[in-house]
Amino acid sequence: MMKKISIIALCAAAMFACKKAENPVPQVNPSGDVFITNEGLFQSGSGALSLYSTNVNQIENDVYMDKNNVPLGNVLQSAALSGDNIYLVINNSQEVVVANASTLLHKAVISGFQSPRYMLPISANTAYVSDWISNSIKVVDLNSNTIVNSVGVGQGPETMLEKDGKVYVANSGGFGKDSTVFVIDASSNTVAQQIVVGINPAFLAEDANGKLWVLCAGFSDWQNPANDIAGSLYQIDPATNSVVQHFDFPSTSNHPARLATNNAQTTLYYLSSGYGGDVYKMNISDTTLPSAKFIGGTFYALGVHPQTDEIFTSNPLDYNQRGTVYRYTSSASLQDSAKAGIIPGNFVFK
Amino acid sequence: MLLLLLTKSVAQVDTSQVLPAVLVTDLRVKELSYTQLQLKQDSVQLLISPGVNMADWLQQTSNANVRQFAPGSAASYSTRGTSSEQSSIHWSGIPINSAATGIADLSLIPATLFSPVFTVGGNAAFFGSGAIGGTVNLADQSAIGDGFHVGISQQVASFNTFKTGLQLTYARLKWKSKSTVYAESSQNNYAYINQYKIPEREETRANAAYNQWHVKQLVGYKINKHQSAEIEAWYNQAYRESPTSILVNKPSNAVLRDRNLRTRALWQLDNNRNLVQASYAYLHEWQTFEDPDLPTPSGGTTHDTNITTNHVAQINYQYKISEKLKWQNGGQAQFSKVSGSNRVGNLHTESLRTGLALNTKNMHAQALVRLEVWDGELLPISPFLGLRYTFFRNFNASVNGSYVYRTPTLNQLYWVPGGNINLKPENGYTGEFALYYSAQKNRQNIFVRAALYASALNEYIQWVPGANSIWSPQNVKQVEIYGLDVNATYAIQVKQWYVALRGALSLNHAETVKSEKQNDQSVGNQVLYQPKLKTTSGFTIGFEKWYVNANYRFIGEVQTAYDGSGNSLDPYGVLDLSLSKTIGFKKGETTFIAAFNNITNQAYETVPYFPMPGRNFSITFKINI
Repeated sequence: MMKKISIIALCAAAMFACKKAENPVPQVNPSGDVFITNEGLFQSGSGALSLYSTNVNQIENDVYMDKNNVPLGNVLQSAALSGDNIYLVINNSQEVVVANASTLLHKAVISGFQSPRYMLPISANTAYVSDWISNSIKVVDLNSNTIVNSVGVGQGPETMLEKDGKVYVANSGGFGKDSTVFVIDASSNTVAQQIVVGINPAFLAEDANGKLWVLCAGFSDWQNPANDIAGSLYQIDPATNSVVQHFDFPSTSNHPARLATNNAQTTLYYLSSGYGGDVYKMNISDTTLPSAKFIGGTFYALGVHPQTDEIFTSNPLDYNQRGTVYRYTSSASLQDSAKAGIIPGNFVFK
Repeated sequence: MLLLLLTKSVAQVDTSQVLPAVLVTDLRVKELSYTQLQLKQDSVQLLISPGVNMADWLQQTSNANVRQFAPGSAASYSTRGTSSEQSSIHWSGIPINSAATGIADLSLIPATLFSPVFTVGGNAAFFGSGAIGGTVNLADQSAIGDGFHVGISQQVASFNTFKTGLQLTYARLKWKSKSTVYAESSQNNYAYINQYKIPEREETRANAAYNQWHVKQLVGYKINKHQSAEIEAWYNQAYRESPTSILVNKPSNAVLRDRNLRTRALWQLDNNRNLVQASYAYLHEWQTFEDPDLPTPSGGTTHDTNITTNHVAQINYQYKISEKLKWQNGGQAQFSKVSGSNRVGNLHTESLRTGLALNTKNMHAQALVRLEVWDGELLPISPFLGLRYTFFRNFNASVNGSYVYRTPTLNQLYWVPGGNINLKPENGYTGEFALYYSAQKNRQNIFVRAALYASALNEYIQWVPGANSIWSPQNVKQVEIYGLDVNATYAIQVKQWYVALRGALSLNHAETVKSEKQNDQSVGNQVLYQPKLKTTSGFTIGFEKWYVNANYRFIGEVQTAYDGSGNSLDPYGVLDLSLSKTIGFKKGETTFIAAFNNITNQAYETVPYFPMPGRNFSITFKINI
């Protein structure tokens, strides 16, 4: 960004200031197999994309900024891969930025959202985007990069999961409460069913038996903790869209977050808190919630590498400075750690 | 006359000036003037100024750095590497930094209502909590002539901006009165280039409109030869839309509303040996933030209210032991209470100060200590030592040092959730060494001053996340600061010609040296929003009451990321020009001012992703009868 500065000011700047150099555009494409979306500070432009390589234990930060010389936007919530592209969901900027997944060069912007959170490609041509404030799922045409339809769902739609032509939407409650998972028929973009689960479902996963798991955060009232409601974990049979079993977390201060499975889909991982929790591990056949943490820490993000079963977590520190991402083996042995961007929030595995 | 006025724009040997008998300056400001730099609003500049608020004035003329989201929006300032809470603003001696937030909003202080004096440097022994980086002292000290006088000003400016002022003064025998009404509004719908989009595009600032109005009444009464009293009330009300970052595509409907009532009463005794000022003030601030698009967990939408009340009783007492030696004393008691959507709490402070001032032909020395009890807790003694020596004609050297502190705000103590009643005051040491030359000769006036300063501050308060994601303020950091301030002015008046040159340079290094936080990446890096370089410069050329005036300011790179490598604000320079003409007539004078601001159309931000206006214009008409 060049500014008009007078000759006097330029002289002064040269003498006394350390004006940062314009970012050179690297000629080599960044390499790696794990994208890390860093939310950045609210109202700032510090949302940034990092790329981590498990082969060489290296991280490249600000890879989109380096390639395009513009910030991604305000609150990089999540990302999704489809075809040659990576779709970067910028929550507070209310848009999805499309870039080439290899070169990371900017391609397009999809606009028209109010508060996009997650994107789920359901075919080569179509993706669903959860729009938190508008309580809807936006249907996006990936060829024209436009919103072509909108499906009303519950409050604060968060993550989605596609199974057998149906898309399950966890309604996280937005600023209040909800306890439903909506089922959308992807062929008609209509709501087929609602499943009642625990308070504020936010994360979904599928296990090896084809069952779905729903992690519900519960409710947290910072001004009056007496109103808190504990989180819960529900299992759903997608064949009947009914609840098979559920587990209630023991304390009203338990507000679990994130949900992932190993490659075999036999093990569930989640965080005990959405803001600085430990990693817990649970076999899908377990009859009770685990009582002991699997990896201790103050983690914010959670992901499991689909090829290696390695567990990726992040610590956002004070939510103001660059956070740290950690990589553990499936037996909880720390393999590597690296500084990412500000508030590393989600992992996307190539 | 103009030359005389200009000399008062920077630190002088003595700030004493001819004031109307019943208009009283804060005694401490005068006491401090011997050993610390003071910037005053230049009377020539004031005459030809199109009308600015304190945020603009400090940014244009001082070493301080001002941050705001848009013109008219909430503005805070910091100087010499300190935070916004570590600089204090006093209204005729009464501290008006919000007891809830610790900050005084400079956008709600029209500079035209006051004759501000900006004291640079730490002086907690004089002014108490928050006087670490500097102190702005607001006082209505403009002369009130005998009889009835009227002053009217009207400005029309770009972006549908209007500023209107009316001032009535009356003085007769022992009574003086000044009534002021001021109103300002703007659509603030200025164009800017959004450089963060691909491709770049021109956009218009949305939801940044504001309006504010002020009513102020001052009444003074001269009781007898040695005693006088004054009362003053100042009410202002503001409506300000809250614009979003330009990375956010949705317009904001958020609004900030302010109402402030400030009243004070003062009695002064001034005889040959005793100078006593006793005052009482009641301050009431009411602020709400409304965002109809932001629901709350308990239902409804965001409507956050903050109500703060303050009672301040103050006494300053100076006893003249001899012509050269003065005994300086003071005391203050303050009770503050906050209530609002997220906090209820109160606290009280009591303080005493005492010291000696020695003034000889070549030397001025001050030694002072302050004792403060903060909510029942005795704080460390705060000393101030200052010395100025004239060693060769007009060459002077000065040195001063002090222990400084800033007590936690009511929000930091009582915010729900996360308020921390166990916070300790921020504290540390600050000092400076200055050389300066000051001379008036052959209708010329020259002033050059260079000051080296350093501070070591501990227990910096910062909000950090804790258990269950609840943020809480903690004493976490140590900061070391050092730098150089240079100020220079030159003015000459020859017959009908008047020429003035002015410049200032500020080099600042403010580094976090230690942190209680684990893996704190701010350690070793410049403190946020503290430019390492700031310069201001300008000139005024006058001929037969025509004036051409230019001001240029350059702000170096500003860090906005803790790790020192991420986001930062690019350096920028802004050039403002004005042309004015004053026409005298039988009972008064009228002035026309045409101002061209940011004439090079510089794109710049003082907060990331909140652009400031490009080139803009104003026309101002003033009449004084």
